[in-house]
Amino acid sequence: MRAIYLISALTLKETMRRRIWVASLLASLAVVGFVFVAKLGASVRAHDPIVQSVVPRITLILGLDVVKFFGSVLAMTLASGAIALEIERGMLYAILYKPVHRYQVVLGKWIGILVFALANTLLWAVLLYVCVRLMMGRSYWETWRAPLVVLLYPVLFGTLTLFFSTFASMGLTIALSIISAGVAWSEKPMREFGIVFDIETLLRVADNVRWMIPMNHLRRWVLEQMMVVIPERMLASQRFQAFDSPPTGWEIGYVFGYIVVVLLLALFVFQKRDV
Amino acid sequence: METDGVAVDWAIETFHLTKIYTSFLRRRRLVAVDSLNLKVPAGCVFGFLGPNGAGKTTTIMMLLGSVYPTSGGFRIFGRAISDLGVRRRIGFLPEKFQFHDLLTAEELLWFHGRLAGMHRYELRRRVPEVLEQVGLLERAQSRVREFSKGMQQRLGIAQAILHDPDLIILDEPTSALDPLGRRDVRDLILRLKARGKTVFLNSHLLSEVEMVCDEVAILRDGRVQRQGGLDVLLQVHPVVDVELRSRSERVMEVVRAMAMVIAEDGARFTAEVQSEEDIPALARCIVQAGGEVMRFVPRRESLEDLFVRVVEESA
Repeated sequence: MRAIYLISALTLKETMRRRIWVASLLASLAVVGFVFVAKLGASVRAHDPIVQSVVPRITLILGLDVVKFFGSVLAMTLASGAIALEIERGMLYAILYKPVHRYQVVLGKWIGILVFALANTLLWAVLLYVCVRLMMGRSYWETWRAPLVVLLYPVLFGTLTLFFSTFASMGLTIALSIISAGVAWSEKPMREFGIVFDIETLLRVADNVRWMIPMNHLRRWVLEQMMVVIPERMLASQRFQAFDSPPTGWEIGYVFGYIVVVLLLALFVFQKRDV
Repeated sequence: METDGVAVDWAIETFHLTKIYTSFLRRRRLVAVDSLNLKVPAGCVFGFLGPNGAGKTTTIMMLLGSVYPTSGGFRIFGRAISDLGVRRRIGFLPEKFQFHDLLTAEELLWFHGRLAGMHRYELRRRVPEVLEQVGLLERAQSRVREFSKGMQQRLGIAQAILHDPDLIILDEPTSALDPLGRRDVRDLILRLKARGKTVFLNSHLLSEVEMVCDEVAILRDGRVQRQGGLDVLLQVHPVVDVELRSRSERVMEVVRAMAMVIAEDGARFTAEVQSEEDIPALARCIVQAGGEVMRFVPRRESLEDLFVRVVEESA
């Protein structure tokens, strides 16, 4: 336990001293700016009660998408160099001969990265809610579970990238992470195209992608927590029913299982490889 | 363990240790270490030598558990490297390394000390002590990124000896150091030896190895070509540096008949004789063959001579 604590503390300290918090600050400004721009847009039609009702809700939904994006990118950035870069630079040689197990090194890195990424993601989410409250005068605290589900995005992509980092070079790790995120993101457009143009193959590919990287399950789970703010028209639409219906318990379980399996794979691969 | 009736504790023992690297799809195969049998007695300074690509670093990485052997095995102080108790007894300075450079020297040593299982109270005493030993006490609060390569190497040595290990593996410990730094490292190695520590030294600076090592092993193509005590290995064949007024083929023929010419440059040559008794005979033969001797310097074979000879013989 001490080795895991020491390595995670070192990872956190390094992250802070590398001034990653500057990027975090910029992301916070982006969140504030996003809400501000939405408020400006709404103020053009200040007397339309529908606009005044819908814009804060849409701002919150899309704002959480921004938070998801920043959280995932932050976790991927930190995880991509965690193992691969330290091997390339020879940092791990002085650590691995010490009385520590290799799994402790990977777990220490994983915890250190996720603590930083999750703290930032939570900060951005809270900032979003506070900005919507202050700038638009609306509170949606009843959707407090949604930001917690959003936290799973950095966990998912950070774990996946750390797994790549245990066997690939830094460059390849970054490439594989970007490809994974792209594949995950492409599921929804593929499904939409498949339905609109009636392409069975595309739908089958989308079905497989959904299990390869279960981002879509998470996206629908976040939406489920936001039901009370989703405009009624959106909820009633066929598109929402087709693409955004709440995930089943099995699908949610799959996400957690997926993260655990990827982490175990990372531990196994790093244990077996030559460093 | 016993050799010649004398009980010997081996710090390192390898048994047919082999590492073969295979490329993707197994199209290419590289034998980095080939059935290596090595015995390093505890308490000695052991030089691990070989030309580039001989398999020295791969062997060291296997001994530290970073690289897995393809076959064969090894023991450190009679135990497997997977035993965390044994790892506590090892200190290591890697050849190519970089520390977490945003930490200060003191923070870095605290991290490595804690990782090695040291207690806080030990570290409070030990960190300034080792920083002083490597001449970095005044820079304890400086970040590692502000250090020169040589200072980083000193810090690497501090990290390797911090937890007072019984076996210290130094992979090119002086490659980035100036002559004063090299002398400091030499003194440090001798101090460690005086305290009964085993030092496993991989270095290309053979003159330094010769000054501090008790035993050496010369590796080539992943195999040990020669191993033994330095005093024994270097006393086998005395050598003589000779300079004539002018080169004479007749003289060279006579010299070749009774000695092995290991280096030749115009009227100068270095010859290796079988024993010290052959040295006066060689001088006599050169004079009798008409050679005009300008310089005749018998000397003990240096480690560099031995190294070159062994590597060339095994080529």
